[in-house]
This record gives sequence, C-alpha cells and structure tokens, in this order.
Amino acid sequence: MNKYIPTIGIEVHIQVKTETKIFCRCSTNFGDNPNSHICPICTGMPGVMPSINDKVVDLAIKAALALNCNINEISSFARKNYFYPDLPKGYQITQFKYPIAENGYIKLKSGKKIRIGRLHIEEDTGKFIHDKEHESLLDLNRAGVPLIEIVTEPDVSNADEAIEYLKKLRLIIRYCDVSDANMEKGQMRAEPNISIRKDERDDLGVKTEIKNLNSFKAVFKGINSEIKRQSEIIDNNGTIVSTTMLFNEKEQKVAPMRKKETAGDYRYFPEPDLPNLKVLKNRIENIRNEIPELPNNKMKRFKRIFGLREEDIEILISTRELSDFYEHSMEGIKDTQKATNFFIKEFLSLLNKYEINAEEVNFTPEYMKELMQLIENGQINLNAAAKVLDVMQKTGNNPNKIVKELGLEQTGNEEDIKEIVVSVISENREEAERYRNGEEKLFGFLVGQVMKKSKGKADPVIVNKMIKEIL
Amino acid sequence: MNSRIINEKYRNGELTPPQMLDNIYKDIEKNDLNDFITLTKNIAYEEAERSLKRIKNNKTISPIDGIPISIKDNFAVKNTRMTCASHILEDFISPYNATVVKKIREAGGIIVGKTNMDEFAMGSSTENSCFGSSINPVNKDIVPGGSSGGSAVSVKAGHAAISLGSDTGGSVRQPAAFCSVFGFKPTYGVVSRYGLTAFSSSLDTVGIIGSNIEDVTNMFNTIKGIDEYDSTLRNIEEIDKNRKVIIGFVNNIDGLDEAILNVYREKRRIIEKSGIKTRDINIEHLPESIAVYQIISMCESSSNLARYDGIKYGLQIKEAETMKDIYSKVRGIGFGKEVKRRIMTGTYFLSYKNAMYYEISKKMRKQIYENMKKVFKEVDYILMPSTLNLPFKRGERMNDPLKMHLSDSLTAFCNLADLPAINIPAGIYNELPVGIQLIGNSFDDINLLKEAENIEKIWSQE
Repeated sequence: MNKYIPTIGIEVHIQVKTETKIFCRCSTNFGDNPNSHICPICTGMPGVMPSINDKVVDLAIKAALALNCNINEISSFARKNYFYPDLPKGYQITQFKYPIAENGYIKLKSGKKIRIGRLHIEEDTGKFIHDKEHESLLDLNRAGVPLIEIVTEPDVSNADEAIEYLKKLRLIIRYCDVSDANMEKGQMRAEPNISIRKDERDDLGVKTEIKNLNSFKAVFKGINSEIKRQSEIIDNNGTIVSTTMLFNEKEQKVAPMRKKETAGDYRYFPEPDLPNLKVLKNRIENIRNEIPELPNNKMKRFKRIFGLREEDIEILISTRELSDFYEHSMEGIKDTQKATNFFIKEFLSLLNKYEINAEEVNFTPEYMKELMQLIENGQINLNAAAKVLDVMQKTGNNPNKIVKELGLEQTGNEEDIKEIVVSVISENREEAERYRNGEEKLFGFLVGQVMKKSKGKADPVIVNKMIKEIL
Repeated sequence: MNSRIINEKYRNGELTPPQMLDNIYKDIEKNDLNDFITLTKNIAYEEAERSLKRIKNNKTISPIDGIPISIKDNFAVKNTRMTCASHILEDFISPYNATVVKKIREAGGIIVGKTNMDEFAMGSSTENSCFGSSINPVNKDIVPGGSSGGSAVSVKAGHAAISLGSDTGGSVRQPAAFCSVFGFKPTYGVVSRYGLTAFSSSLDTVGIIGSNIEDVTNMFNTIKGIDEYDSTLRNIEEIDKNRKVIIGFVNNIDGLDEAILNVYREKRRIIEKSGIKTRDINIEHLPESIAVYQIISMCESSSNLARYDGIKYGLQIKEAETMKDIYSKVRGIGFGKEVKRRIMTGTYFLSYKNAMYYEISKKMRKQIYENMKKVFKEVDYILMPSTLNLPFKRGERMNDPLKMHLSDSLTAFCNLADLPAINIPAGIYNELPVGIQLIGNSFDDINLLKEAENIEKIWSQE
C-alpha cells in the first residue's frame, strides 16, 4: 500500500439545526411517523415555490465563519436536475456557481491545514425505503431539511488525517450549535473522494467517491479499502474508472455502485424562483459575535492557565458544555492537576453512570467548585468526594451540607488515626505479620481497612505514614 | 359582460349572484365552446350566497364582489381538479389555493370554473389540450389562440366577466387578440406566482383577461402585491410622469401581415390626430428574441416538469418493472407531443456543452432588457401589433410546430425584458380580430392601464 501516494478530498453534508425546513414551514423533527411533516411545497406539488428560511442562512454563515471561510455577500441558488423518487421536484435546490462561503480551513494537530474550498446551502432529499421484496416506500419528512455541504481541497493524505479532520469539523459544528452532527442519525455524512499516484510529481490519478459511510469507523475502513482496491488495480496494470463506490456495512469494504456523474449530467442552472442571496456586513458581524471560543483556542488557553496535558484537555473540551462546566468548577483552585484528575475520573464516570451530558447534571458548576475546594483544603479525601458527588447528583444538594450530614469530614488528627491503625493491626495480625515479612501488596489491604474503619474520613497520607511507622 | 353593469343590476335588485350563475351555467350547457375543463359550481354557489348577503346589507367588500371569474386550469384552487390540460394530471385535486385565488376569494369574487388551455401552457391555439380546443365565439373556424384560449373565450362568450390566465411568452395577449378582448401581462414580480403551475419560472406571469380596462384594473388591484410564498415579488406604486406622454411605434416589423399593418397605421393616425406625441422606434433583436425565448423557456420547463413522475400524484402506471420503466411509461403516456418536444429540447440545451446555448440566451436576454431600458428613456409606451398574423384556422398549424412557435414573435420580448403589456382589441375585419398591444416600462403597470383606457377611448370615439 505504501507504494502509492493517496490524495483525498472530503465532502461533508451536515443537517442544520432549525425548527422548520429550508423552503417551507414543516417541522424538521427526526423520527416521527413517515410523511407526518410534509406540505405542498416539500412534496413538489404543481405550482409551489420555495422561500428561504433565514435561520438556515444564519447557521451556514456561523459554520462558515468558524471554519475560517470568507462569506460571499451575494450568492445564489441553482437547480441540480436528476430523477429519483426521493427527490419530489425532480431537482434539488442547491448552490452551484456562487456558494455562500469559500476558502476556509481546519488545522490538524500536526499543524497541517486542510483547506475548505467551499461551503454551500442546499436541501436534503426524502427517504426511499425498500421495505420488503417488491415493495418500496417513500418518506418525505426529510425532504427539504436544510443542509450545508462543506468541501475540502484534496489536502487529506490518509485515513487517519481524514478522521482527525472530521472529528475537528464535528466539534466546531457542535460548539457553534449549528448541528448535533450525529453520524449515526445521518445528521453528518462524509463522502471522501480518493485517488492514488506513484510519485508526488505525477498528475493526480482518477478519483472515485465513497458513499454510505455512517460512522468514523466506516470512513476509516472505507478509505483504506478503496486505497487498497485502487492499488491492486494499478499493480495489475489496470485503469481506475471514475466511479461512485458504496461502503458495505456487513463486509466493511467498498464496492462500485455506478459510474460517477459529472456536472454536465445534472444540467445545473440558476434557480429562477429564488432571488440572489444577499448578506449584509452587519449581519455577518452579528453572527461572528455569537461564535463561542472554538476548541483550538480553548485548548491553548487551558494549557496556559491550567498547565494540563493535551490528552486531558482533549477530553475536557470534547463538548462545549463539559468544558464550560469544568472551567467554572476550577475557579480559585490552585492544585489544578489534582482537581482535574478528580474531575476527569469522577465527574465523567458520573456522566457515564447516569447516561447524561454535562448540561444535564442535577447540580450547578458552582457546587462542583465548592466540592473541589473541599478537596483542595483537605476537608474531605478523594474517596469521600466521589461519594459526595454521587449524592449531589441524586439530591441536588450543596456539597458542604452533604459532607456534614454524612459526617465525611476528613480526619487529619494523628492521634485518632493512630488509634484506628493500632486496632486494625490487632484485628488483622496475620496480614500485618506477612506484610512485615515482605508481602508488599498487603499494604493496600491494610490501608483499605483503616479507611473503612474511619468511614473514609481519615487522611490517606497520614494513614500511609502511620502504618509504615508502626509496622 | 361588464362588472359595472352587473354591479348596477345587483344594486337595483334586477339580478342576484346565484341568478347570474344560473344564467352562466345554462349558457355554457346550451352554447358549449369547450372553454371550461372543470366547472366549480359548488364553490361558486356558496360564494354567490355569501355575496348576495353582502349586497343586501350594502356591505360589498370590493369591486369584484359577486363578479363571475374564470381561472385557467394551471392555477391551484383548493379541493378542485387542476389538470393543466394534461393527461398526466387529469385526476389531480389540488390540496391548496394559489395566492391569487385566495385573494380573489377574499375579495368576494366568484370562481365559476377552470378554463381550457394548451397543455402546461405550451402552445398558441389551445389545440394542445388533452380535452380538445376551445371554440372562438367571434369566428368558429379560427382558433381562439393560446395558451390561455379558454380564458379568452370565457370572457368573450360572457361566461365570466374576468379571467385569470398565464403569460410566459404571449399566452394571455395572443388569445386576447384572437378573441377581441383585453389581455394584460403585468411586469414580472408584481403578481404572486405561488400556485401557478410553473412552465418557465423566470418568464411566467399571471395575466388578466377582461372585456374592459376597468375590470382588468380592478382584478390587477386585487391580486398584485408581495406574498410570503413568492420571494421574487415587490410592491409597486404609481410612477409620476412629469412630461407629456410619448408613444413609440415600431416600423419595419419583419413578416407582419399586411391587413394588420394597415390597421396599425390607421390606429397611429387616430392617436396622432388626438394630439398625443408619437415617435418611431426600433426594437433591437426582435427577430432573435423568439429564439432566446424558446431556449430559455424550454430549458426551464424541462426542469419544472420533472416532478410529474407518477410517484407522488397524477397518472399512475402499475404495470412497470423498474423505476426507469415507471418514469418512461408515465411520462410517455401522460404528456402530449408538444410538451415532450419542449422537455427534450430543453434537456438537450442544458446538457454538457450545449449549455452554452442557454448561457448565450441569458446574455441575449440581458441585452434585450438593456435595449428596452434605453427605448423607454425616449418614449413612455410602445404600441405595436400583438401578433404577426391574423388568427389562423383550426388545425392549420398543428403539424407545423415551427410556425406555431412563431405566434409569440411580437409578445415574447416583453417577457424577456420584464415589461408590462396589454392587448387592446383593434377591431374585427372580415370576421378576423386584430389586437394591438400597449407596452410600458417595468413596474409602470398602473400608468400603462390608464393609458390603455385613454387610447381605447380615443379609438372608439373615431
């Protein structure tokens, strides 16, 4: 496989999060009964006309700005003509010659920029479902759901870069609240196009496009399987044909679907029913002001103020809500690494346990901050803190109150701890003896017994010191 | 039929809206000119009763309250059949109202029926209707013109006071000329197209046919104005004219019938005699305008008619093997010859390298538009014949599509240049009506209608 240099470009379709469809007022709600969100406009009845949903334009501009694109103050719509039952009008309204935005990029970890050639607005198709043998069903709920299409230049070198690009793109889109960009729900769809060549100096090879990739894993496997397929063809002196490839979920590989269409097949022409889309400068500036701090900047800032490892920050910024929650909880905390470790370990397992997102927990970041302070001041130990956190989720109560109610204040009093240590040793003479004789692993057992007896209140540092001293 | 007279009779108690409907439907039955595809009796009588109450209480809501109106069968009327005179939509019931239909009903207008037309508004004689052509009440041997032939016939025959048609390249003005009535095509972007079945979306306009200017004007005032469902619209106001009106006349119209030329000269003489200033003008690219019109309209129609695929509504074919088989059978059986011809030609002109013809046509259109803007710096209106030829005989051009296409020669450039224009009946000679159109500058529709009224008065006083 290394014999050839792959060149990859990626087209991504993202469903934009609006209440209503792009050209009519039907709901965009996903998962309702088939054909429950349809009207004369989105079903292509004779005589209907589209009128643009301004919210779609706003969100497209927002995404474009977050992706470092230039916004075209005048763009326009075009018709892409083809026949398929899921396309009610027999054409898709999209942007062709004049997209709303151009020339953006996403920067990868390595510093490499993946250039974004264009970002444009278009409408989604319905769903044509082959239910049983000899029976096909048409659901037009999705017809007219707004999409943005984001097209890269052929800057992606391999499947790893493709995945990194897509994950970064998804994160930015989610930060801006343009879409939930859930690939499994079809809210984000990636179509990589791939060509290979022997040498950097050669012209780009003939490219193929892969469709039906519903997960990052599928994108990764699809790209690699297509590079392999093309390599084998070239190895055997064959020629690559411009094809649309379909990813087979079961076999985890690609197979040719049809000859790839060219623009000429689609008979594009300007959409006469929609005037040019004019975007005023102050509209762009207003939207620019709504864009939150983006992941790359947040990464830099967290590194600077909290001095954390990149891997930790990546987890913390994986959603905007989590990063905000984290940042709020950390106010005034000095031992940031210790607090962060606790946050990543315990807060995230809490989210996992209750299957919720950061914005859905039962308590405010303010309470989390108070809990962090209790740890930092040595008032409770980490075990107790984890317990408190769980109670906070269950009751929504203030951590100070919970600590008092459960009597979890940490004991730092050496005399008290010594008393417990002595009693634990006397109750576990055999284990104490074996430890003394070199069975190091029993140390942990003894510590555990002391903590248990202290109901978790003993300061583990003192416990450690005390056991070593006595034994 | 004249609204003013009908209104007077309503007020005097000589006539009621339901009685008027009785008369109309009786006459349609007795004197069947095939001007209607569907009669909307239920809706009509309901509206008539409501209108009658308002008349009795002296609370009529508009000049068209209680007035019988016919609507071309390419406009959507809720719960009513809309066929576009095509087999493919023969059983299609519209689930919604066109904006213009909604406005007419809100103004108390009574919709008596849906009128005959050329299939999907493609044609100039109403002979491309899957229901057969309509009969011209002026002369039964000649075609009524098209594509809004049924609308023109219904007004001429007194089956409606006013009719809505559609004008993409002359489809309101040409049948108005052939049936000797008024036919007005407003500026593109002044009347909502929402609910008008699209033929060529950048050229389609909602047109009005009436027996007098007052009716046309009242209808125009009812239906114009912005609409949330059509984003290509703007509101218009009366434009101040700060000079004495100058009317342009076009010399050397290639291929103009001599009889029409004589009428045209005579009408000019009368106008000059009345003291109105005239000037000779030249319309550049008039001969090429018909080709430009054909290419643009066919390209757009090939896309607009793609939705008729037998999947969602309309003609269904169950005996088919594959998707492609369904498409070709439904469209093969559903569409008539002329519609297929235009879809295929339009598809050709948009595909691959042929798209350059479409691009050139768009450039030519822009050129024609700019030229007309220059002309309207010199004159306020243009008067010129609506057609090159006198009305032709039934069947005469059915096997000569190129000649049929030339029927729009003098009208299509107004659609290309977004100009308002109105056919004014200029007399009937040897049982053959002649129409002359008054053309105005874009968005000067209100003045245009006033000037048309003035000209008609001058001609009728002679």
